[in-house]
Amino acid sequence: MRNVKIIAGKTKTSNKPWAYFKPPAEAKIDTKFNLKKGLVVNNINIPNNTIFTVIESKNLGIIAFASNVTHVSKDDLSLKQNSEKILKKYFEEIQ
Amino acid sequence: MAEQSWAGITYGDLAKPQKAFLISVIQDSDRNFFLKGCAGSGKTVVAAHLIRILKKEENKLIKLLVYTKLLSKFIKDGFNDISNENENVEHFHSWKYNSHNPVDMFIVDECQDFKKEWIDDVKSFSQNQIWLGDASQTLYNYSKGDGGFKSINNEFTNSNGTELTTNYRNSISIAQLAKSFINLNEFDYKAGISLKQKIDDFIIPIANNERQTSGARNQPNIFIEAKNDSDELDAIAKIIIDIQNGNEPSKQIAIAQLKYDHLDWIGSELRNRGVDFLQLSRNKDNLELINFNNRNLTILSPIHSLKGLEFDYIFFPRSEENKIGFWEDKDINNNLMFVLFSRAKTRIYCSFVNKRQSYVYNAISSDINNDFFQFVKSSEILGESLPQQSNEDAEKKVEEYFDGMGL
Repeated sequence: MRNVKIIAGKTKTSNKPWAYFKPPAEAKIDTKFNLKKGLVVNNINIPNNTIFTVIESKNLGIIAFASNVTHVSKDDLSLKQNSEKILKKYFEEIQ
Repeated sequence: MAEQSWAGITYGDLAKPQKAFLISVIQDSDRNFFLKGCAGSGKTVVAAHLIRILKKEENKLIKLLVYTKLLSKFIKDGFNDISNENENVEHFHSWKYNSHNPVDMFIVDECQDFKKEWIDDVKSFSQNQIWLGDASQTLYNYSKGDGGFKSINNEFTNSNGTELTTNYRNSISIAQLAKSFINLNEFDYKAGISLKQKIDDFIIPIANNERQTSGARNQPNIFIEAKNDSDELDAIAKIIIDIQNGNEPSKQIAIAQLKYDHLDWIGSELRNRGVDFLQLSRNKDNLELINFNNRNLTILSPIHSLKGLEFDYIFFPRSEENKIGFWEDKDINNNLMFVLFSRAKTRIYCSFVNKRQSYVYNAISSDINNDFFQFVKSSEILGESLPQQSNEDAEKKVEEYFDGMGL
């Protein structure tokens, strides 16, 4: 799955996370896509091997959709923010 | 003497994927990582800073292992105003045959050229490793075939592997020359990547970066056709001296050949023509004379020793296949050319007496009618000043070239 932009968000009412991308035009409705490499988009964790299923959405047209994704945990977020602080501080100090 | 360190970058200078990688290692430095990255993607810069961050934050014994003595000197020079990197950075063979001490973590640069037994050695002398490499820059057949790099790739399939896919070093003109030597390797075949796709992956991010397509950075590469060997060296010497005497703030030059015998001959010829340069000796015992913070540095070096480095100008004289003296297979030969040309930030000069035998000319001959290459006779260089396009002209031509490509 090269050069696809994965969009992720959460529902307003239940806060449930989701992710989707636009599959190639030739993808059939029953096609499944297996994400080879994990990534985090918009604080939603999409692990490797996440299965995206091609569906037809009313608003978005044909999309590859996955619902078995999770929010990045608060612990992970604070760890990331702390690591970012360390990185910024290091580069400030060497200037 | 103008001095400026390459290592003096700010947080804002880091590209998003470089930051993301550094953050992920700081988050959890007790595991192994594999950073793949194309030429000019900043692997070495990331590694050189990473070791200092981890040493400070984790109080661990960490060493950056590099493949060549020259790269080790490059890194040490980059940090010499802020710390002593002698204990942090070492080239692999120095560690293996001198200290051979265990550490908490090894960061291994250019690991695609490490033999399997060296990789096993590194693993057995450290708790964790961060591997940095790029199969497209493999320069040695012994490491290509023994499965060492493959074992690292296999270890990181689907996890902990990060890829820096954007080249930030080369101008679009230089990239157009370097791309002529891109090969498919076994990892590309496995991933189902076509040659066109691989070339697009290299070129398109560069074409989309204004800094790399600006006219100011896109003088065409110069191909010099000489009447004979003497004229060829006269022309090369004149251009080098012109650059050295010019007003540009940075004018680091590497003059490259594959074999030491050829370097000795060219060195002697250039010296006789009044060119000032440092020649890397065979046993590299004059490394201390080279200062990578000197923006007016000119070195004469084997191609293999230029791995991981960058220069404003690359000179590749005597580019005929029979004069280069390749000894590996065609894939490695092309990798050597790709590595050499992707070292350049500003411009490449390539020369030959017999155009049809030039390995470089033959590689680009199907695509010479563009504005990234300029062909001149040595007599034009020796008779008058070097033909140059104005920045405005060059910028316009670059725009025209990409017009319609939908980038």
